[in-house]
Amino acid sequence: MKNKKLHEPAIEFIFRISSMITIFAVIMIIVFIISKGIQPFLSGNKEGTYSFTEFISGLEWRPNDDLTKARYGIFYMIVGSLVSTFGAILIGVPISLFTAAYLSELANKKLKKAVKAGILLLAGIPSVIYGVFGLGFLVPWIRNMSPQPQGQSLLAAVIVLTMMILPTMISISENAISSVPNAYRNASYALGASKVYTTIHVLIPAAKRGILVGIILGVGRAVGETMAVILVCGNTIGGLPNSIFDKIRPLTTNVVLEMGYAAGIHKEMLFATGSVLIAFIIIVNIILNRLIKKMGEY
Amino acid sequence: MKAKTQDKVFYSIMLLCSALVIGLLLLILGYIGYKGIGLIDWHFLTSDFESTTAYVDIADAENLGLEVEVAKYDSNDYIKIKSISSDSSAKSAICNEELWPIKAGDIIRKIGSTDTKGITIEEYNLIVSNLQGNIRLKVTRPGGGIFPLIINTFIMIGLSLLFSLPVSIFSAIYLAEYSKEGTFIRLVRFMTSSLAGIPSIIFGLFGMLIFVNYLNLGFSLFAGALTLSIVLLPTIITQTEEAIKRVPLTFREGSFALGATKLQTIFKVILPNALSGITVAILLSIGRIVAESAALILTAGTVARIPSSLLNGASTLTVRAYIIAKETGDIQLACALGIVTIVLIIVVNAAVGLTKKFDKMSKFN
Repeated sequence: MKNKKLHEPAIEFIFRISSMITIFAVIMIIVFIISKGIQPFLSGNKEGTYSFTEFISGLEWRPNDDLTKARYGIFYMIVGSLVSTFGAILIGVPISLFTAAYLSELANKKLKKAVKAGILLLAGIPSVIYGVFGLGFLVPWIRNMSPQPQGQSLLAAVIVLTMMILPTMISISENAISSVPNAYRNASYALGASKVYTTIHVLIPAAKRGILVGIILGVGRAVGETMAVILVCGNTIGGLPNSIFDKIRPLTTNVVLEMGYAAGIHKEMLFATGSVLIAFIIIVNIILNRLIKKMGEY
Repeated sequence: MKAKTQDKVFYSIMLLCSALVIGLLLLILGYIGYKGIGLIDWHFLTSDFESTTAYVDIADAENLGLEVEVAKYDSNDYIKIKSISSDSSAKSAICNEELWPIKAGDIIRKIGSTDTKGITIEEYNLIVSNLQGNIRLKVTRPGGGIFPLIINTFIMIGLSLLFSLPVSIFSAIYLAEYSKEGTFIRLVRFMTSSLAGIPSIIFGLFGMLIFVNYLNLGFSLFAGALTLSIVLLPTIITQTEEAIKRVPLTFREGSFALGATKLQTIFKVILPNALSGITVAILLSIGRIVAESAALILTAGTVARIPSSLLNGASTLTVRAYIIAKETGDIQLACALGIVTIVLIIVVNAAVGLTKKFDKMSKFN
């Protein structure tokens, strides 16, 4: 018995160390990737140096062993990532909001259960499979109406991303709307408002922070999505998109496309691309954290 | 009256959006299912991905006992084995001093020095009836199956959980049972939710840098599983912590009142009662691993064979689906892989539902 008690502080120490694992992991991930990604911009780097301004503002990605001929510009990728994410949010938010409102307030129990199971499945489908669907179904369909010879395009990326962020946004918004206190509903009904009117004019505004959290999570997922987009976006080597039928190349796909064979400064540039992506994700996370904190105050 | 029209408009929009979401789900399931189902059969699920060809020696050629048919291989007619009698000498065929038992479905491409391309069953029977003593066959075991990918996926699941479960459960115990609200806990929670928000491609880059390059594990199952074990941390920690917190306070008080120490209470009272929550965490992790590809492609490689050691590369179902779609554009095969992964996901989701339904703790909350 005495012996057993002696172990307690030691095991508590193990628990405490384990609880720090996520802190450790996040810091390691950020530090290691950025410290590798920053190399090409430091003078005296053994693989050669490249101007950071040209990297961040460049419109062309042409890896070359000869650094004087190589172009490592990622501005058009940043634009590609942001535009496709923005498009997906623009289409996805109204759809998910109305679906969430319907599920939370108006659908009967059986239907709600079935639809929720469907949404759970939609969330579980691997991103590659979304990509395969996009490549096999959407891309040929877009090719038929596109002025361009290929169907891989910003439009295809936006549609696939929209499908992928819907489950997250719907379930978070649905949660937010259904956790609005019943007092709101009862007050609104007492004033003679209908169920639909109450949902649209009372419950959605009351749940707006929770809905916003869903949107930000959607942004995070869309910015970071890789394997679905890579199959449908066309992965252009340069240039800003002028129309929805133009090819794009988001930051994420750049990394996967070339990591298999990249070496030297080319590989470091891919880590630099990843570092820019990390910067975006950090911004998204900080906004998210602020939002959730503010929600706690209410 | 005006309000009523407005209600109707909004109601229709809501209905339309919900229908659209379900329509999209049915569209993607329907498309993947329709395109891929034609490929799915027993052979597809149980065969190797790549074909293997071997020269095998059979000691007792009089007793081959093979029933054969003519079948296409590489767009030529060859002799395919339909079934093998149980006492056949072909079951103890030797290739490079190792047992290489011939199986039904194998293609015989040469008997001794005779090429079997285009021969008829009668010609085959004539050749075989003249065989005596030792004979060397050239045999091809056709690929086109996904068995190695399924096995790799399961190995990846087991290994990642093995690395991730202990530390995440310990972490959850600390968060739920020991810590007091404060800066440290807020930091842990912030980092856990941040980790959950990191895209898998970033985990892939990290795993490649640390496990593949610095620790020199190469593109391997081991490197892939270590990377995934980090990916799984937030899911398992959050689910387990919630499960532990759902165990009513009275359970702890009862245990302490009986003189149990805190550790005894945790391991003998709290964890057993949080088991269904931990099961849900494991199931969700399985779903995540089945769906994962970006992190694995940069750490576990794309080899479509069952690796002989944990330090060899191994591609899972989804990674191979990507390679197929990207490099060969074979949508049908990619969809067939999609069916297998989606079925796995459906099984996992159903299991999560069942576990939650039979959760003993639910009656206390």
